[in-house]
Amino acid sequence: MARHPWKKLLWLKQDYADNYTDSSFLSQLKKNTTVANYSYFKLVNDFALIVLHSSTIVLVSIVFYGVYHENWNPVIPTLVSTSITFIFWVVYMVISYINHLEVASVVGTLKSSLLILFILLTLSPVLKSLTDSTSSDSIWALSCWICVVNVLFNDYVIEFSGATHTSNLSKNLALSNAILLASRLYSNLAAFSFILFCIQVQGLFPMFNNFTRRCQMLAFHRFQLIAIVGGVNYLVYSILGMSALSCWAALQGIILFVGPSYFIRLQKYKEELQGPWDPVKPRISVA
Amino acid sequence: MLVFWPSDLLSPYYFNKKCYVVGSNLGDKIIVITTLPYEDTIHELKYKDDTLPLTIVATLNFEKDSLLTLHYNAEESTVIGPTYVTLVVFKPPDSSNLEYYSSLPISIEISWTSSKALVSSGGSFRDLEDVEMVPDLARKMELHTLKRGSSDDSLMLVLKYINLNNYLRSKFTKKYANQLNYIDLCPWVFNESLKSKLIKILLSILQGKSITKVVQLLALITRIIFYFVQAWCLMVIKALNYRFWGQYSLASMSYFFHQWEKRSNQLYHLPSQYQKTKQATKDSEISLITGTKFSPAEYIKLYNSLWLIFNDLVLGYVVATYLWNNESAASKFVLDWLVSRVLIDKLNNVIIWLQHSPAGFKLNNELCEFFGEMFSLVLSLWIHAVKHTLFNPKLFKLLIQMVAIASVSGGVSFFISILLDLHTLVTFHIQSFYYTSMRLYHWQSNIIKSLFRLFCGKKYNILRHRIDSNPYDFDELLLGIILFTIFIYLLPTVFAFYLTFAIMRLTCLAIGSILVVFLILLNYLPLIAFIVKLKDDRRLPGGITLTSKSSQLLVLKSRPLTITEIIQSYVYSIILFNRVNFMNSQNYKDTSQLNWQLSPLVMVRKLLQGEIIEGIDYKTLF
Repeated sequence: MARHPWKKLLWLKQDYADNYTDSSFLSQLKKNTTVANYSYFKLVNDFALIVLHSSTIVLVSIVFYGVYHENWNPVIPTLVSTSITFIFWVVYMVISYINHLEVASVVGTLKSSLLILFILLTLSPVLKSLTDSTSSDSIWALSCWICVVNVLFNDYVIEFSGATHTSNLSKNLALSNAILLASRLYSNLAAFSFILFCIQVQGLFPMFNNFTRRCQMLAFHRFQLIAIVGGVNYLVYSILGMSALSCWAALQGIILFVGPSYFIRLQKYKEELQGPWDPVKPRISVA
Repeated sequence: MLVFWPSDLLSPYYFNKKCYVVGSNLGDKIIVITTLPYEDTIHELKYKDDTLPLTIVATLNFEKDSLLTLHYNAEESTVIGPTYVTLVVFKPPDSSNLEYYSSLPISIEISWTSSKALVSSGGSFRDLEDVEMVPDLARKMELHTLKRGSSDDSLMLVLKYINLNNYLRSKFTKKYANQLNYIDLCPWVFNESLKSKLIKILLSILQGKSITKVVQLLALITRIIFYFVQAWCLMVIKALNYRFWGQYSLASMSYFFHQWEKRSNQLYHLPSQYQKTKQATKDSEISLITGTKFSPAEYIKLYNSLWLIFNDLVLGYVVATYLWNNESAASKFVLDWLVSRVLIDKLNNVIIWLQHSPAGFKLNNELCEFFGEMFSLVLSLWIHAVKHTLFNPKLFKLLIQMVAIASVSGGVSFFISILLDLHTLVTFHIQSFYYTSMRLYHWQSNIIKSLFRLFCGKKYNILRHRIDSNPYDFDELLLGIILFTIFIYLLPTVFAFYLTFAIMRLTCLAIGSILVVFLILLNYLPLIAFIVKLKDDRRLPGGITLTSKSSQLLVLKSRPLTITEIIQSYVYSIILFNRVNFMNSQNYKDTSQLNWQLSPLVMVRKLLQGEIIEGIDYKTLF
């Protein structure tokens, strides 16, 4: 008597042993359905964002170095960054108007920027004396670690599909780093202008950069990228010398060109299983 | 079948003597009360005037009709019956001496209100059987618990007869001794009569007319004195408990007034307690017959408070004498060392130390300076307020004399309560420093907690009581981060000040708590229970034990309370007392916080979260 073919039904009483595995058991299994084929140049484009972000961090550090060690006038970098920020804001308003995008009201922007400005002015004596009794070495070490964490945890917005909620953690880290460094400076004015500079470079500029990429103005984005990276590299060269520049450029090269190829090579280890079952999430703790 | 036999009816008197055994028959249990010598004329007893009927339950050394026949065995001085009979020998309790058997341990209570009142007002705790339940609920409860078997009830009945042994026996004898006209009814009757004859002779001597009059006069005078004392005490209690502005009374503010009120309460209750104890023997028998629970609580309460007052006064006299003789040394110690050196100079040094990197910690200089100046200013104001008024040498001398007088008249507890009041007064500035720094720390840590959520892009949702992620605006973020960084850097400074003052406060609390413990011991130690335990522990029954001597012989003994059980029962009654006081004073429904207040873990948690650490609230709890 021929046996009925095996069916994948648990409730059915069948003429097979309990540990029987049919050859059709895994017929519906699918592998790596979501793997995308990355192009090398697209990846280089994306990795350039990391270079841009680390360049802004280095820019802040160099300006601090200049003000703290080389007795730069702290107002000049802030004036430069403020004027650039104002130009970018005008550009932002114009492009938004052309593309019929929703923008924040001028009065609102003015109000919040004035608020921050005055609060910074009021608190700058407190900020200046915040870490007076702490030794400088511990401040440098803490600042370094904050920068490393900042690079690791930054939300590099690559895809603009859908209303993704961006994380502000890296901005918060950047600002606390700025306050930390400003507390080492010698005058209230220096502390105030340095923090303002940091807010513009690490808080407002990434937002504007994201905006240009969202509007598909890739040429303008590349211009920003090259200007910032080039400017920072020049500053590294002029202040720290050739050796520092070569190290820094090598690091940038590795991120920009070796990183993507390594990323593509890693794709072959990807193994994602999908079947007609529901994936079970392991429950770590009982709620 | 169990035959309960009093041990004093095992004398050689019964050797070959024919007797009727009188007692109570409870079906399978017989409780023997007494014996009657054999006489032909007796066929049945008619003894119906009591609620506990007595009949002839057996015969001793002869056989008659269908009655149970027992034999006296002189060699082992026991009574032997048929094989199905097991003899249980017990020593009849001396009820005039407040001895009795009980299957449940008695509770040791010192407080003036009875435990029943406490339980009914203080919610369920233990002794649930004593609380009258709604019949409906009682029926339901029976379904949920193991049914109390009939054996338990009959054990209670047996114990009732055993406890009433002497009483029933004397009543029975009085009635029948005249009727039957026996001279040698049984040996104990002879003893009793001899004893009573002696007492009668003594009384007749005492009852000379002049002496009686003197005694009566003395009693009258005592009564009048006590009347006035009671009136005075009542006045004091009323005055000390008068509440100003609805909540503050003198007794709730000061340890001294609280102690005074407590002492007045004791004095006020003494006469009625004495009356009750005098009636205790009589009452106990009546309550045994009617079935209500008998407890020598009144007796324990009266003698305990008398003992404690006596102790207190003796120790108070010692302290007062010492104070009186060493007045200048005491004032020098308090004024020069305690107030000037420790509480003002040392504290000032600590504040200065905190201002300059305490223990190598690098604090914020500006904030340190601000705090230090603020606390120094308050301290200098405090010095002006206290050192030059209450604690100036002339006034303090007077104060010491008054303390000495108070401790002579009120006892050492008055001395300790005055010390506690002075302690509160002297450490007031430390307390205020502690509160200030605690509030600051509490605010700051709360702000940091909430800003840390902002740092992670999250926000507490008050509607759903959970933490949600929230898209903050850029200006919100900036302001939040600036404040967060500032507060994080200022936290160690605030914490250093807070921790220092918290440790000071805890030290003060510890000293105060030790004094409070002394006060509790002086006022509420169950001294009499320990003394009774030493002297005659059958007055403190903690249950019964049966030991087997042979296959047909058991010995029933009362198991006295152990020291641990006394302490447990006492602690339990104190906690109950505290709960009721707590709820009466504050109208709190939740008393759970009472139990956790003193746990070290809770203290550490409160310390870290910046909540107030409170000690034992003696004045509301006791």
